[in-house]
Amino acid sequence: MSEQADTDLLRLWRSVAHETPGALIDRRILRHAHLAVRAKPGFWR
Amino acid sequence: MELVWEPMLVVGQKAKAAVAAPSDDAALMSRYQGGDAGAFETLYRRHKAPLYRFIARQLRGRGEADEVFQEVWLAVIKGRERYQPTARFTTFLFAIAHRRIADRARKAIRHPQGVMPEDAADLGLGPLQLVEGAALGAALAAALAALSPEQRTAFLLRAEGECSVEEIAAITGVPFETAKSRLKYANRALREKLIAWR
Repeated sequence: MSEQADTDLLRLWRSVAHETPGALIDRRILRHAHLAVRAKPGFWR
Repeated sequence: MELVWEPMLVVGQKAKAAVAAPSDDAALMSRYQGGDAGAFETLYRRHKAPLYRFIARQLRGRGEADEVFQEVWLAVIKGRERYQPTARFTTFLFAIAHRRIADRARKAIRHPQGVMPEDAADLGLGPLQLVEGAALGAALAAALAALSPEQRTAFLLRAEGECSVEEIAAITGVPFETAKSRLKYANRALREKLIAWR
């Protein structure tokens, strides 16, 4: 019973919790990620 | 050349198939280590919302949540070479977030700033974005806010990180039984507060 009740609680949580980061944050993080690998030290330069 | 790792160890019997297969996450991280920024983007889009909620529900407001969220991802980017697929990527990610949140909590105790809001409506997170059942969402958020920090963390690791009890114990640095008990009491307290909604 308790396991089913826990599952129901999780389902309820997922049906009501929807916060996400803003688009500006997305862009900032993805930009960092791209720059980090682009800036990787090159070959024998 | 694309690196392919061995299937990773899934910790705990209850570690269910998450939204994404853990080995898939590990492969994406491996590709990012090899310089594939697109692989990171896939990982980011897959995990950003649960991670954000995990952080936001434990801090004072949206501004602080935004800061910590970015710190966590920047730590992943910076520490990408150190990532080893010995645990699920989610466990790795949420462990970083947990440490950052704990750091903030310690600083908040040393340098208190105003009142710690207990009511979800004061969290500054914006309302739970509901089309219907807004009151139930608010009640659940308020019940979550009323838990002890340890119980709240345990519940959120389960709900957002899909963590097993073993993983919750590992992330929070407590024995298995302690993690199990925190999760159990968190679930019980939340259910009791929501009993009127049944």
